[in-house]
Amino acid sequence: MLARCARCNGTFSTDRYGRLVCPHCGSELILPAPPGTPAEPEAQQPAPPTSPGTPSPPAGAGGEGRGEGAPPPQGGFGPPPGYGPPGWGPPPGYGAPPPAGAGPAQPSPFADRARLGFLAAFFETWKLVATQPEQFFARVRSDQPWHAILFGVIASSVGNALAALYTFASGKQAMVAFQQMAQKLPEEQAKFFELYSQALTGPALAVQIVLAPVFTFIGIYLIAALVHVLLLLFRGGRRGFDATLTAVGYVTGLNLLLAVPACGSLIAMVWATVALIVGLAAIQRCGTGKAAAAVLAPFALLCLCVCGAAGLAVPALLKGVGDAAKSVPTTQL
Amino acid sequence: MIVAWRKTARFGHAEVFAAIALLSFVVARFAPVLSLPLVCPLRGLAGIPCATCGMTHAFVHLAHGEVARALDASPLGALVAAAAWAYAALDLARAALGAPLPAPSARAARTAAAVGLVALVANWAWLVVREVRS
Repeated sequence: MLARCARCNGTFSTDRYGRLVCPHCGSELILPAPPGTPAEPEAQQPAPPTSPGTPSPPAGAGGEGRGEGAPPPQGGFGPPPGYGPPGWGPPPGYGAPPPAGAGPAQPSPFADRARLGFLAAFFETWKLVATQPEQFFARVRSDQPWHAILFGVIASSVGNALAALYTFASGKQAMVAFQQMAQKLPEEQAKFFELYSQALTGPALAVQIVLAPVFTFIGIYLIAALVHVLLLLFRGGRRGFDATLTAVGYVTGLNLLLAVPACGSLIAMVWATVALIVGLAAIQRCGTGKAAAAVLAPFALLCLCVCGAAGLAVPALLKGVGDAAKSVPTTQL
Repeated sequence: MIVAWRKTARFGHAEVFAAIALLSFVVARFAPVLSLPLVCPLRGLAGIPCATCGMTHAFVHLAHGEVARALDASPLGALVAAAAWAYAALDLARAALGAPLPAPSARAARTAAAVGLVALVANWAWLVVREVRS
């Protein structure tokens, strides 16, 4: 029979009742047996059909209601409309309405790369993430974050490597430009530009290329953790850390745009931010407002603190201007 | 219930975070991080410290047992380093023993997130005020 999880709305097939684990979001749920059916023992829990090496979600990672000690969510789960006896399924209004394009969760093309072929699966996934993030994240399985991380690491590493090659090719001219610029700047800013120009040399770029996969892997986890914490703060992380990690992993794949000369990093940053907001809203079923708040809050905090720091600096600036005015020799007419 | 306990696979996201924390200790303790020519872009261009300014120094000093210098560089950085390394040690021990993972409730996680945000802003304000006064 087909059953639907009340938490993530994902459907899956099962042939038994009782305590089960949703294969999509990992929620532990109870499928009540219809009247007249002998109940099965609870010990026979089937393991969720996750890919090899797929781990369990972390502590405090938004797995609300999941886990051994946690009670199953209200309403349990049941078959999609039209299946089973009347009265099954979640109560009306449970959870946020699924976004446009939501349906049964499916693995991404990249997760199916063994069948589709690596390059075809990679570029199909990239195209979906870049051009149809809402539809893609509304349907993609959120219990396979390792595929998303691998996708992000590969795409970002390739983008970084190509960007490093462009930088190396144009490095000498850029270094000369930076050094000329640094001569006209105050000491502290000049030091910054000088150090930045050193990062354009061959050894620094080689290190950047070699370490890019490691930094991308760590970055995906840390960004996902930060975004998920903010989502929890805004009550938007209902589908757990795996879903946030999946969104961040696939969106990191847009760093392939770093391969675009000159303006690639700017395009990648803006595109990835927009795709992450849309993707998080779809995969967490939390709405665009909460997703945008979680993604943009660090930027907003940065702006707020820069303004605050500028406000603190104004009295000192005014005092400095006043002292300078007093020290200027005046001429009495 | 504030915290539930959940059995997990031996290596999951919690262990990835523990490994990242452990890696940060190894780098802070053994790599010449402070000699790298890195400057905070915000401080370099605007003369204002960013929220994470001083954290590298805090991690390195704490990894060398210099608690006072770590707290002086960044109070939040020192606390984050201590918490991260303690978490890494506890989680690796938990995973080795096969003990269940504590799973905070949604409310506890929200409260922790709010406290963390306030601590970040307070730390940033402290850094900026110190920079302006110096």
